[in-house]
Amino acid sequence: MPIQTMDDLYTEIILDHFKNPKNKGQIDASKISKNEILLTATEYNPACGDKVTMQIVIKNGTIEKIAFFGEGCAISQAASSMLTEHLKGKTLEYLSKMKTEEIYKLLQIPISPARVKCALLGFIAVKNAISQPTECIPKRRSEAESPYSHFYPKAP
Amino acid sequence: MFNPQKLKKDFPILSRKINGHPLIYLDNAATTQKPKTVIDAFKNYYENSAANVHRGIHTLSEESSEQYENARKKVAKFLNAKSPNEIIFTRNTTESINLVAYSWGETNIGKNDEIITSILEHHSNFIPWQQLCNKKNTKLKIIPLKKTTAPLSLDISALEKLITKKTHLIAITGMSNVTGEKPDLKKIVKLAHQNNTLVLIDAAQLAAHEQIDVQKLDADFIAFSAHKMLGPTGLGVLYAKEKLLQAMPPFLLGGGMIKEVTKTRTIFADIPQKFEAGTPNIAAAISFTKALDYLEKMDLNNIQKHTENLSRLLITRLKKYPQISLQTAENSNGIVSFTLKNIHPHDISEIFNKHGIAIRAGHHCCHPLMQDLKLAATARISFYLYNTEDDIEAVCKALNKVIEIFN
Ligand SMILES: Cc1ncc(COP(=O)(O)O)c(C=O)c1O
Repeated sequence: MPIQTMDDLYTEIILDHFKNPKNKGQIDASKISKNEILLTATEYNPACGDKVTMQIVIKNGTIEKIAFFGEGCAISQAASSMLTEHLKGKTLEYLSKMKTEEIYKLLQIPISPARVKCALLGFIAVKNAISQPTECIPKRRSEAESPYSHFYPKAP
Repeated sequence: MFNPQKLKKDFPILSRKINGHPLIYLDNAATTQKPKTVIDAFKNYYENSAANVHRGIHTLSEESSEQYENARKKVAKFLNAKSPNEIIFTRNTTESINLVAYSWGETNIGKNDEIITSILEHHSNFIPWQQLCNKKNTKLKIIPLKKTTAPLSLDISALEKLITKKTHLIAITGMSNVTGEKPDLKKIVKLAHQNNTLVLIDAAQLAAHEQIDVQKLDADFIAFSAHKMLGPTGLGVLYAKEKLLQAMPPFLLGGGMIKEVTKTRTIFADIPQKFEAGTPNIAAAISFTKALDYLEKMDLNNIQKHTENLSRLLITRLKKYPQISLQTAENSNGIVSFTLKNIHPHDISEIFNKHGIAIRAGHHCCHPLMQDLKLAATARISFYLYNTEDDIEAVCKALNKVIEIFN
């Protein structure tokens, strides 16, 4: 493997997203309107104790709002920040089909096996948000019901 | 005799290059590197005398049985145990502690009994007691940190208030793998025994940094791992007083730990075999003796002075960076944890690695401690006998680079 320089990983874009993350914060659940749904999920990196929580607001099958919060390294924070920008306005179908390769494409840096979990922390959290959210507002009528079935009949 | 620069050549891995730089290995608290004598002994077992122990009547089995039992004797002597019967081989510290929790704990801890541990503990000396207490519907008491900020220190005076007639066990670290603190074990053991309480010491770090004399220390259980003291992975030690071991039921059941089995009952073997079900890690036990030989030759007192000295030097240097906070004890012996403002330990470790420097970034399997420190992770530098002052220079250079990149 070629020797990597520091700049391979800590590129200007990465550092910029780390220092000035986009969409970082918490979505106010009280402001969710009737035709919207707020899904939240958290993913952990047991190797270092980091966690990232992702929140998405869905309206008519589209991601209208997205936010993340939590502690993490430059890679996990930058990846989460970039991911929120990337997903805003996209459809749920897009998110449900999205593959990990796209995260690497967004990051544009070589990810070593040890940093895979850092790069994917936010991605896994947002995937969990649509498949097994830790919180869903408004509350689902039953556990079996897909969290967004009334917005998106053909759940992935 | 003890010359860190010279003894580097005894460790084949230390001539390796990482990312174009000579390896500087500063993750010794996770595991230490192995001298060639240990590696050779491991290889020799598989090349020349591989066979199962205590079973076959043939030359190879006799040889391996003898070498395996010699390893037990060697460990007993190293610790100044009264008898090799007090030495149980396990897989690691974690298994040694679980053995006590399941075997001794399950039988001796009831609803109104108490266990005391400390906030410094590694998960392996925390979760077994937490789960046992939850199961038995009793409370796990935790010795807290002193309320001061740096340097970090356990509030041992709290122990005098926590300990009661109902306390059956104090399970405490001999040396923290995060802060490097070495609690005053003599005092703890004395206080415990005055209250008819047993003491278990997690010596995973201590055993590598201080010559343990089990008779002087007088603790009831001591657990450690070979791999943190120049030995191979896959081998742990549980020292326990003979009387305790005799009274305890077996932990794992199966081959090698019985006298007789009928369709309805089993008579268990005497100690130590009673606690060693299944084929043990024979190669690891045999090669561990070479690690102990090496430590004896270098003398743990020398190693202790050396790692203490390096820690002191490193702490002095780190204190010059206003961005750095230390999560380290006053007299840390080889382990220094720190955080850099607004820079995650993962990123520190990543950039260090590009300089060929291996350190640990994370929670170090100490979630409860991290919660009290309100940190997700720290960066940790841990020394051993082959580290030198040059390594500290390299650390400072890499640190400057980290700060430059993130500024
Ligand atoms: C203080 C302490 N206790 C226990 C352990 C667990 O050791 P092992 O993983 O060998 O069981 C470690 C090592 O990580 C440690 O540092």
